Amino acid sequence: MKPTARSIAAALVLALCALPTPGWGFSTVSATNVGNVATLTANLNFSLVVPRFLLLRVGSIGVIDSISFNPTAAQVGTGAVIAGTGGDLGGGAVTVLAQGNSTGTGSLVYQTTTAALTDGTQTIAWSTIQVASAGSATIAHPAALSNASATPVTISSGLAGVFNLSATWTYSWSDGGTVNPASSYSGRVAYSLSQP
Amino acid sequence: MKLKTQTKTLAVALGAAFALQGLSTNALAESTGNITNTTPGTTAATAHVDFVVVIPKFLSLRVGTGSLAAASATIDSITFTEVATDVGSNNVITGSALTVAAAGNSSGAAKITYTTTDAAGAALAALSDGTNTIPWSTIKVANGGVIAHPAALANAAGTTVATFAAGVFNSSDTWTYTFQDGGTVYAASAGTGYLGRVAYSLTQP
Repeated sequence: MKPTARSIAAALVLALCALPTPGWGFSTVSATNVGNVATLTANLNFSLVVPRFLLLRVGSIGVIDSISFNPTAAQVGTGAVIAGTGGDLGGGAVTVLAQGNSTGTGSLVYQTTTAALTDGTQTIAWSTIQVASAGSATIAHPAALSNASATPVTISSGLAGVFNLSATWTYSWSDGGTVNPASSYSGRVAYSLSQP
Repeated sequence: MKLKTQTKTLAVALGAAFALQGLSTNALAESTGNITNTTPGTTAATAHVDFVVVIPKFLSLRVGTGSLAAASATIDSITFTEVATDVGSNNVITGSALTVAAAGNSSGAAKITYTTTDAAGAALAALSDGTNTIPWSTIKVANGGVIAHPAALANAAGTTVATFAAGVFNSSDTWTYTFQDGGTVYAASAGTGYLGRVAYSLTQP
């Protein structure tokens, strides 16, 4: 029997849909051809598999933001609050997004990768960096960073089930009245979101 | 007509097939970025922020009116007034006490020096009323032990007052100025009295 256009089409649908497509598939497809009348029936079953998903964004996507504080000479040792520069929102502010959908209770923590901001020789305490939070109170940042190189510091420990939280963290700096040696000090903070 | 129907049927079939493939691709798109997904077990996502604090070189000296960081144009004036019975007696004539503060954050060792001048900044060997003079050494200086000052002034041009350890320093003290004539009877001053200025300077390499 010579194949008809519809039977060719049915075969094509079957072939393309046989490609690996997680979570999707056709149940049955059948065609009968009686005389000059071809009858094609198809049934489609759907199943959707939502994978475990966890996302943490702090600042720009795909880029580690660098936030700088540049006090003037007149501000050294005065305890003046110095606004930052940089961050995806500018002015030392970053976008924060935490999303997850597992069943366990997740937590958001941070850990400084060095004991203090350092120029390689001299140091400035992490606690000189303050953080103001806006948006979701669940992921409000502690008011100041701490010298947390040994153990992670918890920001939030009650992220149960499905959550989708956003906030803005704005970093500033103050020497607290201490005169620090002239130099450029740097350091990195690693944020981690986990959910069982 | 038949060809048109066949073409339409194929187009619908292709469209349906690619549409279903497209759904599967979109479902994966959000899993890119700052995420690691270990299955089974705890999922974890990480993000980082870098910080840089730039501290500029800073040097501040306050003697009298002013503050550590803000510049002040005020020059304090200390007046010693002998009464007739003090003349030639070597009595201690009280002047004033001044706050002294010095701070810096460079790497070298800082020091305070002073130079005696007139009101215009020219070197001045002694206090003068324009005609007569009184030696600078009649002015005594007491300190609180933090920032030392020589016990008496002298005809000076860059004389060292105090030194500080290398690196960051932030010290304050009080210098108290008095006058003693040393038993000498000086000429009654003309005009506004015997005048002179001391210019203090703080340097750090």
